Amino acid sequence: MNPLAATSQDSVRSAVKVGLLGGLGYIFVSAVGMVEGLGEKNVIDPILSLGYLMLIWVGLWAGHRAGAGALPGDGVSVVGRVWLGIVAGVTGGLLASAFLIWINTFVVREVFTNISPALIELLNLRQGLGTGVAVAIGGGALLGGAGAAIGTLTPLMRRALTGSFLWVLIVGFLEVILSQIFREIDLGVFLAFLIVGVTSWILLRNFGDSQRVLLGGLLAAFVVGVLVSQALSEVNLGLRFIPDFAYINRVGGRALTLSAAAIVFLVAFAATVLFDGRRRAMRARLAALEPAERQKWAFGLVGVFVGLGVFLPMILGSVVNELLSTTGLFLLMGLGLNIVIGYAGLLDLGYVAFFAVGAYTMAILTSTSTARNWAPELSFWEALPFVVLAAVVAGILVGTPVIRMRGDYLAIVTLGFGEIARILFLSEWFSGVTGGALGVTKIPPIELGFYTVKGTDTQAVLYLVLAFVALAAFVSYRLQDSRIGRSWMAMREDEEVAETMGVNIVKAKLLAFVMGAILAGVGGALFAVKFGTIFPASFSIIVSITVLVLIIVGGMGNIPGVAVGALVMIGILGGSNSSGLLREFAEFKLLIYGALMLYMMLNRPEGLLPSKRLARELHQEEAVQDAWLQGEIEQGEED
Amino acid sequence: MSLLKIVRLHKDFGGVIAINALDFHVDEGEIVSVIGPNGAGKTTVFNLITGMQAPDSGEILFEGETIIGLTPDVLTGRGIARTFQNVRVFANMTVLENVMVAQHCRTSKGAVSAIFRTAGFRREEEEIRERAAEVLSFFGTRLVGYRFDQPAFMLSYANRRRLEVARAIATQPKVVLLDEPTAGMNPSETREMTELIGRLRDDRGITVVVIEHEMKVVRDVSDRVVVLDHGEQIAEGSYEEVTSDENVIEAYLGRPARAH
Repeated sequence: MNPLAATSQDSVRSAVKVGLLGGLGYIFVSAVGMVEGLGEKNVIDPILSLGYLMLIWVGLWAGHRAGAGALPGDGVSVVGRVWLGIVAGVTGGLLASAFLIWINTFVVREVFTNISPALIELLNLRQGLGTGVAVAIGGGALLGGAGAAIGTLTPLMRRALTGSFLWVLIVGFLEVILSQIFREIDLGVFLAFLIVGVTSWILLRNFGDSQRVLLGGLLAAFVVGVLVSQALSEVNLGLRFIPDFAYINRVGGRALTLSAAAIVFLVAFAATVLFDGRRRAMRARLAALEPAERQKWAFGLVGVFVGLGVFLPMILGSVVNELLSTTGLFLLMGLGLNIVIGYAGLLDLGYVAFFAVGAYTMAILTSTSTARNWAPELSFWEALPFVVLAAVVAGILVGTPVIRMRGDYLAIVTLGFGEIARILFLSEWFSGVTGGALGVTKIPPIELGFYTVKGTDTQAVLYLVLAFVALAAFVSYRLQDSRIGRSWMAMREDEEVAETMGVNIVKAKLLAFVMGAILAGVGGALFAVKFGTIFPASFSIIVSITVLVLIIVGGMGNIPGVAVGALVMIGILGGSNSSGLLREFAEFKLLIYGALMLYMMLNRPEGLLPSKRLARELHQEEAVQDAWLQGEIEQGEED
Repeated sequence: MSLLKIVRLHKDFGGVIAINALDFHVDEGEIVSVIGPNGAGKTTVFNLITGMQAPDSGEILFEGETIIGLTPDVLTGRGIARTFQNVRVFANMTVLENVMVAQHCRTSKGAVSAIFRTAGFRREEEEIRERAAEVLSFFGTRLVGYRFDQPAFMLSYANRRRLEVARAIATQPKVVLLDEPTAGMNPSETREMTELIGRLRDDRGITVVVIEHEMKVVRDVSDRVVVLDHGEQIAEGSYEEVTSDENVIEAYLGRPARAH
């Protein structure tokens, strides 16, 4: 009996279609060079490289879609769904084989530069074309069936399975951070975490109502924690055997060993299944919390982040600290742009201008280089007020001409301003002060009195950046929830009406530009000190775009959202001229940016962690429907 | 002395004359209805008074002083508020926030005091909140309680109109211009709104100018009716006088066919 007979023609057709899409995915991933480029990097040694992972993912996806394509009403059984997945897999495999035969027979490298002999070797599993074709079709069928089978599991099992696999990948990718932590962690930091954690737990439990007691207690705990961490920083906990066991050195970087991967998978799987009930209960309890209680726990959460900010840099090592300080700089700019776009609704595409103004002001005023005509050689703290002042002036200069512009026009004009700023700093005309194309060198480190923060001292730089980020987040938060913040919001909704309601549009817009400019300017000043040298080339349009993308991906108008956006875009993927945690993907960064933006716009336009307001705005219809279903809205009162 | 006085006002849009040599005045404590067929220029008059558009010639005097050339926010500060014909509440802000924003020109605390949460700032925020709640209670139970924190787009059409009126009141105006406040409302909601317009003056001492198509409302609320057609005032007087005026009947119904 043919198990496919029970399925409708439509679902078979859609399975074939999904299969073809999967086949195209295989060809695309191979032809852009991902399979080969990422082939060196082993995720799980020796069985899974990142390159193969891309192909496997395509197969699983196609199978899953094909299986899920049959509607519940179709009466398709579990076996039928798996067969649909297999149909999709084989279809994709056939298309992939056609591709394989083509690239094995002809030399196409002149046009498709990434289709190299090495790639063909990889796709053939180094065994010749026959094996390649067999693997493409057989593997396609296997993966398609597996993908469809996963779709038929209970939600819990599905989550456990995919979640655990995700954990394995995360542990594999976080090798740099995890090995560093396990190697470096000392008794001091460990005890500090313990002290702060336990104290805040006790405080929140028993004295949650008195902010004064809470703050005082937490502060005391932090002070004790820092002292303890300093005093006992020499006593290593001796956990280095964990990374030594879990990771193995390979050509493409350190990879997770098979046994470690299995342990991670099993632990994650067991945890998901065993603690499912507890997780649900927790979630229900969180949802039912009173606003006052909720605020208390939000306070606790802020405490946790402060704790991580204070103690983590001590053990993260220079690579990760460097990564995090770059992320912090972009986060600082993101917070500023969030005020301009997220709060006030002014689409500014030339934001990099303010960053450049801040960086150049700091550089020019502090640099000790003799190459230029004018060098006052101030210290960081003497120059900082001038940085703020320059940012304010720049904000007003950019803001004034565009007061009456909206939307697209505003975007285009500000885009121009961004370029103008870069070209001005580059020009020969000002080169006596700005150094022209050579930039400004010898920007001195920051004197704190008791400590000198050198740009190369990644840990100190990170602390400094984090302090400014905390300050910026605090300012943003306070402004948002105030008379000024409300007038920005109203302006974003309907400028004309806001004006008739008494909001001075000129003042409100200029203030938004100026606040945004100050945050970017301070970011620029830190950037200048961190690198010690600045060039006009660092302030290109791509910086503006990156900052814009990070607040869109994270969630416009929401401070934690911007932080998440910065972590994902800069920390993980890597910014415009820095590489992120996934260094392997650096070559494909722009491709991934594009794919990510497309995905976000289609499926989650409000960002990963949106503000309530934005989520509402983009899902108005759903919100109204929900409210209607709950009887909260009256549809035209009866007479 | 008139609170609001319009003298020989003229406005055209690229050859189309919207307002032509218009004269009219509003006395303090009056409720004046502005009526007229579609395209008569009623909303344009409101736009000119509130500074959203600039007249080509003529004079607008508010409390005896010219207000031509002032921006809408300054005029709101002077005491002129309005609602819109096509309801324009801030849809994604909550009901309470809508009314809080409207107090912008009656409050003063800026960015610095907001960042440091000074005592003055906290006091002012508290006042803004209380006043917003008070204004919303003007509509009975319609916009209070759980509605405070509901986004405005969730409100029914009639409630959005009420919210617009609330927002206008919250600016603490001397005169409020209501642009078709009962459009799209059912008869009972219209009656309620009619009564509210009366209370605006009686309880709060606000002078009201209202554009209205519903003749029953015009009859019930107006001290005086001004009729516009083609940007000119064609009649003025009490409801009874105006409705029996031949020019008005002609403007609405057309010239009666002459018997042969």
